Amino acid sequence: MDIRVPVSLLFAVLGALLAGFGLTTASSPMYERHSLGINLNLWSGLGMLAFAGVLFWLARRGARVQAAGSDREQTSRPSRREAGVG
Amino acid sequence: MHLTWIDYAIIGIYFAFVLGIGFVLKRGARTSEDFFLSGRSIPAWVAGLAFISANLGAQEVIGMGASGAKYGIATSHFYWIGAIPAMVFVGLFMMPYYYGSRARSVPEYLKLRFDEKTRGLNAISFAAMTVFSSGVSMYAMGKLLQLLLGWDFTVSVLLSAGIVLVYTYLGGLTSAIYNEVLQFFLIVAGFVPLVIVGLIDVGGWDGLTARLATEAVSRGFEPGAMTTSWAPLASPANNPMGVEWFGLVMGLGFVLSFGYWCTDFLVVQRAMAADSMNAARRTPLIAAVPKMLFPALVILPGMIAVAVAPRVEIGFAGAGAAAQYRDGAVAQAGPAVPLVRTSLIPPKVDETTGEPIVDADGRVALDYDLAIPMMLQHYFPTGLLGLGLCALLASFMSGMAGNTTAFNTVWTYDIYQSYIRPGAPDSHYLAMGRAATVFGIGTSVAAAFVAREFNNIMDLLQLVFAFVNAPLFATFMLGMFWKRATGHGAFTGLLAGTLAAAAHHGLTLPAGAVAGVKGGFLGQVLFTYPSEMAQNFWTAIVAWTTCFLVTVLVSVFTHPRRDEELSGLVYSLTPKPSDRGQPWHRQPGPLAIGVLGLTLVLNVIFW
Repeated sequence: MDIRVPVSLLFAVLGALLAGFGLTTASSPMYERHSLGINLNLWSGLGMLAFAGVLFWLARRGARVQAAGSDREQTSRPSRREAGVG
Repeated sequence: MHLTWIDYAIIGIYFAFVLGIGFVLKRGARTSEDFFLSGRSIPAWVAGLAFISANLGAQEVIGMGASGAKYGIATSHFYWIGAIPAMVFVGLFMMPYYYGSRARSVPEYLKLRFDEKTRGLNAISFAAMTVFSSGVSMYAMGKLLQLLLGWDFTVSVLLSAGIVLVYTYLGGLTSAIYNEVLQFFLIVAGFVPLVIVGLIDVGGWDGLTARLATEAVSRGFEPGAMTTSWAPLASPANNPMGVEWFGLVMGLGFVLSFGYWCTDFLVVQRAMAADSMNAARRTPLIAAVPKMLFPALVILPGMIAVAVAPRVEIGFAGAGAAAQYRDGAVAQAGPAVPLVRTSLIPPKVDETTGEPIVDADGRVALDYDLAIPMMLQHYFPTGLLGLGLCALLASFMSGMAGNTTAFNTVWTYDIYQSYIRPGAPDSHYLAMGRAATVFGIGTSVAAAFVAREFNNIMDLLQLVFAFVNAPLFATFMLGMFWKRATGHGAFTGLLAGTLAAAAHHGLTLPAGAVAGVKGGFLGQVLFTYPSEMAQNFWTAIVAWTTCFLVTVLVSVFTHPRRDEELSGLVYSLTPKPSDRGQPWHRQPGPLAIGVLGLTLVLNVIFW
């Protein structure tokens, strides 16, 4: 398992939840009272979604590189055996 | 602090993910090496983040926030002097022997290098220490949640311990490491918004400097004492920590820091699980990058908490008189108690009477440990508050899982396999590892309840463990870099160092303290330190020096082991690891230079 996948999944779920909650409560006085009028839920949610996206992309790229690497290894193995190394 | 459905939903989703990772990884733990060392298959960056996350327990987050409020930016010495150099050293110079010797634990390295009795001493004290310190941090967390949210102490301790138990039981070290990475990111996600909104509120670093100058002056220091790190260290009277630079650099920067980062199996285990020698050496170096930036996330909020006045209308769980004081409301007590609070830090409250505690000078004692929780309550609306609590829970759980996995490995390999039942099939030790996980967490929970009833016992135990730990680095340093050091020398050196620590502590006192757990218990006070921190640093220096000298002395008069037996264990008898063929960013040397250079820059910026 590539740990980047579950981490990006968790951040996507929590980010969507927070951003959605931030949108629906955008006019709530709690932002005035707590966070200087900044909709912290919305912005943090969006930030988490962006991070989830980047991490998921990195995981996908990592998986592709690994797949390509093992392909190369498989094709190169017979040739090494022919050369008497394996 | 009031939570709504969305906060509970966020915490619930986090719990589900943590448990889910444990269940997915269950089938990966087939042999004891899978369970205790992740089959040595962890990539460097994952091991690096786990390395830092296991260290980032709740006490670290809460405690560093508290120190930020108490001492200001000088708290960063615990990172830039007290961590980074030691992390670089363990990666560059010690990992070749830990990883290269194929030892499965730090005590096992001592067995390979020295002898059985040195290993036994280290293994038993380490196992006891991890279980108890895990219990103490569990107690702190349970108390905090009770105070903030009104959650029942027993329920929050059992619930969080239960979740850590399930995922470490199922997936072993791999599960702990993967969850530590997840927890690392959550902690960052929870604290970044707090720092940003806090800094905006106080007017950035310049605004914070101005506000803390007033605070420092009111405490009787120079205006910059809380916003510069090195300048006030010329004399202990100039800074709130009460230390001078030599004691800090030698005591914290050398003895305590190297003793922790280079010998504590809790962190070293993460590097030992890495997938190659190169990855194992890079693990602490990768970990050093977030470590050096963490002061921004954990110390800054504490400093901001001092500079911000509370809003009166925000409520607090924990009703009665205590809540009144915390809200900044008018108090009905005597003239010694200030009527309105000027910072977010609440007063310390006597648990039985509910009255604030007043110190000898007639000033109200402040509960600095609540700096970070008060910041969360102050700035976070519901929703993000759930994420902030998740970050606290995550730091608690990562620290606890770190203790658990270190304990079950040392117990199974160094105590059970060595002294109780050697030569059993591997599946037996795997089962024992799982049983030790249950036993370790169970004992920690018991310790948490003992701590709640008898706080003094825990203070005493922590003091004893501090004595045992203080000399450790001298033993490892001589073991790895002086081939002449012998097992008898190491063992007597450790004992002498521990006794020296106890004797130094017993004969000195911090200013203003009474004899007892704080020192002076040997009946005579030979020296009075300006602060408890200064006393601790010098206790460490004395212990290290004694251990070093006694080990050398005894080694000279005892038989050394033959050179062939020490290959792979000692610097001069081990071929240097080669990183040829790796790109520069995968070579430990250039990485170390980069890390040290950045740390230097940070020190200069906040000089």
